[in-house]
Amino acid sequence: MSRYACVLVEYFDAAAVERGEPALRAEPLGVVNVHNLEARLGRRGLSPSTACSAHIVDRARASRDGAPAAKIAMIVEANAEARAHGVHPGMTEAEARARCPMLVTRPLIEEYVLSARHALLEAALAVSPRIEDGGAGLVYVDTVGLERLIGDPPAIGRRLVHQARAVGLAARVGLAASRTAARVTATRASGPVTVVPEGRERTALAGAPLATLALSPDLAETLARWGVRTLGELAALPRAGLSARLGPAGLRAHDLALGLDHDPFRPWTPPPFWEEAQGLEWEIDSLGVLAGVLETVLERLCARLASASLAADALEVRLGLASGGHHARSVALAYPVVEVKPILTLVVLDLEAHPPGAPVTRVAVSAHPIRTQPGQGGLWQPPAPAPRDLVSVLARLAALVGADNLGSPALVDSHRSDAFTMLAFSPPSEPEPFDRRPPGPSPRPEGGDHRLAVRRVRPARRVEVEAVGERPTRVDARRVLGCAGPWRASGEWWDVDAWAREEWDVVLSDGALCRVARDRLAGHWYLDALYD
Amino acid sequence: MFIELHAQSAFSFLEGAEHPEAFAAEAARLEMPAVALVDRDGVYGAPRLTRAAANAGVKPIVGSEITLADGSRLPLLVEDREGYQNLCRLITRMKLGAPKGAAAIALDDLEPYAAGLVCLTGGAQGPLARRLASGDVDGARRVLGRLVAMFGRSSCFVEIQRHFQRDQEEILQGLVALARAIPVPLMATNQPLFARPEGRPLADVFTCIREKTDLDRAGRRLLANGERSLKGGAEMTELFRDLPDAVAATGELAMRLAFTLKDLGYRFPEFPLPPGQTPLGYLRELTERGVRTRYGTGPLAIRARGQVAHELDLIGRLDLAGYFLIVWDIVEHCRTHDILVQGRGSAANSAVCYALGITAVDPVGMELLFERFLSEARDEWPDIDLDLPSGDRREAVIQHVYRRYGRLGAGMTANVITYRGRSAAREVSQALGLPRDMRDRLAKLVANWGYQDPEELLTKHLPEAGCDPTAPRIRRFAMLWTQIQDLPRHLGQHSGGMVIAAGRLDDVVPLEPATMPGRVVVQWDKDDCAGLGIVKVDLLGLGMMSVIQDSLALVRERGGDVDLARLPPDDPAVYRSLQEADTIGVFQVESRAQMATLPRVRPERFYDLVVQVAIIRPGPIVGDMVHPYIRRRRGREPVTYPHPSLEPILRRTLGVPLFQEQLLRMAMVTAGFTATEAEELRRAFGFKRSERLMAEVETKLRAGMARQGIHGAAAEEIVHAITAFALYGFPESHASSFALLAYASAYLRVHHPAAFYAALLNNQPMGFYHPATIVKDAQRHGLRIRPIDVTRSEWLCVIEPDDTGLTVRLGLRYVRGLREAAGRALVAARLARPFDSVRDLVRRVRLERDELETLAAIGALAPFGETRRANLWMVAASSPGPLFEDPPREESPLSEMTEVERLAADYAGTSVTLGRHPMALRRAALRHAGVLSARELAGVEDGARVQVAGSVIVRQRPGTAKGFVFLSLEDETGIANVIVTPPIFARHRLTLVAEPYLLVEGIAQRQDGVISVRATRARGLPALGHHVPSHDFG
Repeated sequence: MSRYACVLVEYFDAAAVERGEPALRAEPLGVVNVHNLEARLGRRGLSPSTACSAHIVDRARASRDGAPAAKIAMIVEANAEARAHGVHPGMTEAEARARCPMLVTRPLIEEYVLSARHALLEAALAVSPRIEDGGAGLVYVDTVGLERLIGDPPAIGRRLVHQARAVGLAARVGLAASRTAARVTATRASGPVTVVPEGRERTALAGAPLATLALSPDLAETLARWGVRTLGELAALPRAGLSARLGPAGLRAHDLALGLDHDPFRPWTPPPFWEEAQGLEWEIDSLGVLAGVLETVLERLCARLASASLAADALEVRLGLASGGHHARSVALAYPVVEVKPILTLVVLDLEAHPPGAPVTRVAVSAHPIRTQPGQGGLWQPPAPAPRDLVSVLARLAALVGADNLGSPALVDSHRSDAFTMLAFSPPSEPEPFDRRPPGPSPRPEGGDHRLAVRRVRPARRVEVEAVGERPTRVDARRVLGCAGPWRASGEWWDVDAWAREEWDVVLSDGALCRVARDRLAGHWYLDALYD
Repeated sequence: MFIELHAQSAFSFLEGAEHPEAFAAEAARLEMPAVALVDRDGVYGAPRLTRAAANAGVKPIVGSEITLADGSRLPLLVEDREGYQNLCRLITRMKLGAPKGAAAIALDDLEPYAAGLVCLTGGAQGPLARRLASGDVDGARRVLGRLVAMFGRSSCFVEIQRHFQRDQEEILQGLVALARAIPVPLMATNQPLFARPEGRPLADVFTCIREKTDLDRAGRRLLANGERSLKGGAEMTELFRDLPDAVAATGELAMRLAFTLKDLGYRFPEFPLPPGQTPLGYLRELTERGVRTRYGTGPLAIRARGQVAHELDLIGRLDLAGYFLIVWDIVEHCRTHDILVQGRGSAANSAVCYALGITAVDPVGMELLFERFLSEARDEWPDIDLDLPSGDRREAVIQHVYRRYGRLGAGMTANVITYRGRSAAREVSQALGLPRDMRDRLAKLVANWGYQDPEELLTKHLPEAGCDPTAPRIRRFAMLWTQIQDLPRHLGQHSGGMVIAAGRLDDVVPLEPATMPGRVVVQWDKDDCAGLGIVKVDLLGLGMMSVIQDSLALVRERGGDVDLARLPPDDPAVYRSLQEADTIGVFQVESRAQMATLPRVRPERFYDLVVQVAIIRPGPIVGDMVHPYIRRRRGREPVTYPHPSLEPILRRTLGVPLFQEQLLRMAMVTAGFTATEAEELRRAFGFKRSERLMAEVETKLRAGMARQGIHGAAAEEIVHAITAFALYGFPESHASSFALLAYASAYLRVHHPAAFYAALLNNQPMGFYHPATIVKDAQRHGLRIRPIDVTRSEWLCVIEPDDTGLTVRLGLRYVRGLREAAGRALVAARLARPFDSVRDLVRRVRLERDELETLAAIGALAPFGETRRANLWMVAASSPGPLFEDPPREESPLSEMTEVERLAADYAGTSVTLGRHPMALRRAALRHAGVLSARELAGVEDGARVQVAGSVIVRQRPGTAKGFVFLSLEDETGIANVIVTPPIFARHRLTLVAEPYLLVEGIAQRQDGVISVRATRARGLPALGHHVPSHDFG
């Protein structure tokens, strides 16, 4: 009696691509992973008050939006056709093309692979309620009791192949008394369904190469040295001798070679579906009315989350529109929350800022759930704001200033004036002890007590400057009576965000003492600061 | 007038980003009359600055920035020789007293070294600026007071810099206030790290390398701007217009700093003479004794005496007798300690060297030109290089020199490790933050063999490495990689160059500890030392010297006796093997290119071998000397001479100039040059050629020829021959020394093969071939090589007699992964009592499990009576320990190895196999497919279409071959040579570079009995799970 079926889809990353483009099945296909060199500046915040800020922000966005600074394409998977031409994972695309000029390549997209993997699991689940996820392209199916529903083992196998084909994947199925036996059989099979008769596992596996067991490299090397190439040869070794030489790992390998599989079955269940939706019989064109519908939907969703001790940290809101289109919004929550009110506030604020283009006829909200870890605050810690209040405040602030401008600024280690990055706001978990307050300003060498205060102009204001040589003589038509400088800084010459800046302190004819800065690449002048 | 007194070159390792020469050139361009190089903790770049400054008409000033114990840095400038000696001693004390890279000295400890030095207070890392930056004004004042007390008010300057940085200005004001208060004069500097502003990116890259970070993460550790270049007087005067005295002081101080390296004060060590002897008198005595031994009353004795007298006369005039005595002393030490030694290079031109036993080539008999070695024109010490057996024996000689001249009296010359292809690509790409796999690919790309054809620009190949050449960082990579080439990375030690001095060497140049214990290294390389007149002896390790010495010892062990000095000069068997290019393992003539030429040159006597050694060099190949010589030797082209007067000079090389000595003689004969003038000519056209000198010498040459009545085409031909050849020529004396070793090795190989191959295998890695190829070559010559056997093998390969004669037993050193200590312990345990079983061996020798398994897998345990697999099964079980009885014998369930498996186990465990060649296993299939063996290939006609196959043992893409690739394919019958044209290489690049076994289709090319295949197609053969390793060369 076959207890297990193994559903195997070879070269799975390639199969996932072929699922989307079936025409590629006949072509040599390579899946490439392009290593993008992150333009690290793109991750940084940039001061809008920097003299050349507009210029830099634009460049930073350009690098954030794509145009990788450097890339290298590696083959991570190849289909059978490509492998027949000598293409293998680990090659660069250039090497692969040298071997197979007609190679078609597609980038590795994790989402494709994940959805294909999910589809295969669901296809197996349609046949049996007990399945195990064996990795990409590999599903084990417990077939006990399926005969009465489906028929004999070949029929079960055919059903599994059919189900996989229905989701766009070409699978081979092996059926045997153990998962390993079923997998090895599927791996070596030439037809879509292969059944190992009961009690014939050892014979069926005997000719399989040792590599099919995926043993640890050390163990595989030792066995190779011993001349053990097949599972049959491994199975023929004396157990006691193996135990004395290889210990438990050797015994496990021996069991596997015999078709015995003692590892526990880990059933796979589909992840819960955290979505609630509401169809409407009328069209809603007012946010107030829509909020009422959203509240109903959110109440159902939050109740489900709460019953599973989960909270949401992000929401997807999809609105069906009377125009036939959709309006979708992603709403990130700064703090995991399961209360309806703050979530509703956030969603409404977001929709206020980004209203749908037509009356709404359908509402659907899905949540990204996470498990919250309730904890007790410190005895001496001031009470933290309630998560829902915090979330609401942050959402309101985001609506006011924009999500990109919300958070905790942190200085970036750079010679660039005012370079900073925005860190997501999170309340401190412990109060700052008194003795760990940041140190005061460094003592300065003797230089007199009279010091000037600087008021920065943020954002820096563009000014017209006349100069003789490099020295400014007029600023916005006001005469420069005296000046000090220049102070120069430049950097990031190695990428698209090169910058160079020059500052001058100037006394103007109207008595103002100010700092002007010049973007040395663009040639623009800015009023950067005023001295009191 | 402004003089930069604080320039820092790339010898401030990983800080400065410029060659010293660039500062000299830029100073000249800026019309700056002097410039001071003040590198960190050393005077590494001083000789190069001195040379370049002299050419540029700029005065070089020597100094160094000394690291103080608190981490700050104090620039010191040298005023006079005493100051220089103090600086050298100070740096030596710092360096030798601290672990490598951690040298520093306390401020108070500077005092004994202050005389003759001028102190600046440094830039941002100076002791004053650092204190002021942290608000410690009193501390700064105290330090300044201490410096003034140590160096004197006139030799201490408060250094101020302006790099257009706001925070620097505040410190500057503090420094000015301090200087005015004490008072101490101000000194403006810019402390340039690069000569021109374009050097800034490289300085930032160095910062990243130093800080082990990348440009995106380096932050404010990078330079704030690009202002650290060498600035001219006008710019600095404008910058310090509020402090004109600080600029003026630079010029005044520069005038005071009179010391240059010409005033080094180096003295050659005095040789301990017998009482009442002068150096020249003693040298004459030793030489005369040597002449009597070498020449006796033979036909050359009179000429030899005359030559020696001439040489001694010149040696006396140049006061070099002491030098010869010192070299002779080293050679004598080697002789008395049974260490083979032989002088190489131009010293072999000297009859004195020959008489003293320093060299082994008879310059009188071979009519070598003494002036190539020594002439009055040369203002440096003669160059005597001694070849010694590499390894422990050479180290013993080096330690002898240290003992003889004192730890501070001798040192190894430095070898400045510079940024080159692969390392440069790795470090630059890492600094640019490129991902690891791309770094690997770029490194591989730039280092892919030696050859770079002009069309093969780096950017053209960037896409090959999977890089987008238009991406900004990749463009930067290409630029920086080019810019960083040849810049110093760190200091290593030269493989054998030693300098010695009378008294203390650390008065002349700072010394540093070497990584190798018991050695010190001077801060200059051998060219710098030679340029400054410091005597140098090269004690070079030569693998072949070890092989020859070991072979002789093995011959003696078996009762034989070979005297290297009395080898039969014209042994027919030796010349036959050379003519047949049967030369694997023979010194200098074993390479693929040599083998391809030997049957064409067909050496018949010693001088032919001298030519053979010299002819396969980049010089003669690029200078197109090879083919004319071979054509003339084969009688296909008449031997002609540019002028009849040259016949005596060029007769031996059939009218083709091959040696530098011929060039000198040609100039002497045709243009009436003296030997000294001829040597000047060679140097003018040599590697360090200068346009001005070349023009001058050429004019002189033409004028000389005109005086001798040589005009027109003949004159042009001679001028062309001399000037074109000077760059490439090879010294005849050097070729002769090497030819001696080549002959000796060929002789031993032919007449004492067991000893020779055993010694050759014991000295691997060396030479052109992998041990696997050497073993197969030995077997093809009928030498029986016996496998590794724990009951018989020593650590090294040894000779064993058997019924058929002498055989070689492979040593345990060939067991991959076997520790030497474990191997020697095994041999010692066996000597105490032979092993009676595997278990006995396991019990008595502490071997690791994997060592035992390797011994079992290669069959080294087989003498105990079991098969390889049975032994593997046995040793895989844990040993019960000495207290317990052995478990009962257990039958092995493993099947025995097949022949292919044994082959794979041999290669995996020893890197050689004594079984059949892997190609023999495929021979039937190959024959069926019409593939010829290497032996069969020898019989095919020129132009025939053929297929050959073999394991690739050599891949070569020489720089002189215009992109052609040469492959050597080995099979069980020999070696087939394959030539791959650039288009075929481009088409089959991956296959040719990566496949261990190749099947090549092509056209047979036969030339003077040398057969090779010009490939038209190539494909890989399945590897059967193992492959013979290949040596790939540029």
